[in-house]
Amino acid sequence: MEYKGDRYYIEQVLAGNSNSYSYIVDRHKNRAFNLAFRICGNSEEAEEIIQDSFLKAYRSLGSFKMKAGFSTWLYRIVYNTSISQVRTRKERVLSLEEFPAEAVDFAGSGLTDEESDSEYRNAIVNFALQKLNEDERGVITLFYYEEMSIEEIAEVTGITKSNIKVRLFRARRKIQDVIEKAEKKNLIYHE
Amino acid sequence: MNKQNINEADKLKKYLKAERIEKAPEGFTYRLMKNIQAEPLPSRRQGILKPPVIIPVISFSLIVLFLISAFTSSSERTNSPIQKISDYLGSLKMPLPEGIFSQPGSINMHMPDIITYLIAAIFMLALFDRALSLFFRREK
Repeated sequence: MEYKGDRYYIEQVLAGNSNSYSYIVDRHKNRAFNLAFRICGNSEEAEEIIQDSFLKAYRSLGSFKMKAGFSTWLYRIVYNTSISQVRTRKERVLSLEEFPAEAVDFAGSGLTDEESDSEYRNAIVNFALQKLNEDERGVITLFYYEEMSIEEIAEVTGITKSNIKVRLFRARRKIQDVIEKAEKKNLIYHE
Repeated sequence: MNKQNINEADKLKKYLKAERIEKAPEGFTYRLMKNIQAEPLPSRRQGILKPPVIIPVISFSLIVLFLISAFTSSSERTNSPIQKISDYLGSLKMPLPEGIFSQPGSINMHMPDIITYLIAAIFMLALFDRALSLFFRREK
């Protein structure tokens, strides 16, 4: 079925058809989940976060300004919920020695070379993201995965544009550092 | 951007590919919609005036109110709070700095009633403005 746009379904919900909200959820759940997952690094927690975020969005639909983009508004809720969730729990400190070398050895698991390469890179990225603080994880996710502009990221996160640039720079440096170390370790592991 | 920076950016892009999106678990929509059904239906926030419009409207109304009260007959306004503020402001007799206005031949200024009303109005509007901005910031 063709998606008729967020505004249409929001109007339907406000007119009393709450089932229309499922179209909005289906449309945005994966991107919202990805953002929450990259910030908190745990799928169970990410699911809880987006459940909570979609509920908050539903309760506040009446005050949503139709001129604004629904996805930006929703991402702002997901981002803020994820950040506060991560800040309330005790941060797990990872060391490079904890890097699961076996887990990235995907060869022989029925995947093509390209697929196993992709899985391997994804495992390193998830590991590297946990080395960043929650703000940096959010900014990196919105910039690379959601392909948002600096202005859009500023709108979602409430961080100034210049601060976003600084955080992106720092986060890139940290990720590169982890990638280089992990690749070296992986080479040693496979030798 | 130098060559090393370009290589680093390319390498990072290879790892952080936009198409590699972690997907929401199976049945997520179904589970969420069960919770949604238990929620009361959201309704449009009712109100004749939206927050950005309220502040100037209230401010304008207050100014008009103060001006009207300033021009009403004195018998009607002897016990009003506005009159009390105005009387208080009028009773304040602050000495002017020596040497500046106390020169012989300086002008003997007389402050008309309306000025005291305006001072009281500005003071009260400043308080209203502060209170409203705090209220709307909290709501946002």
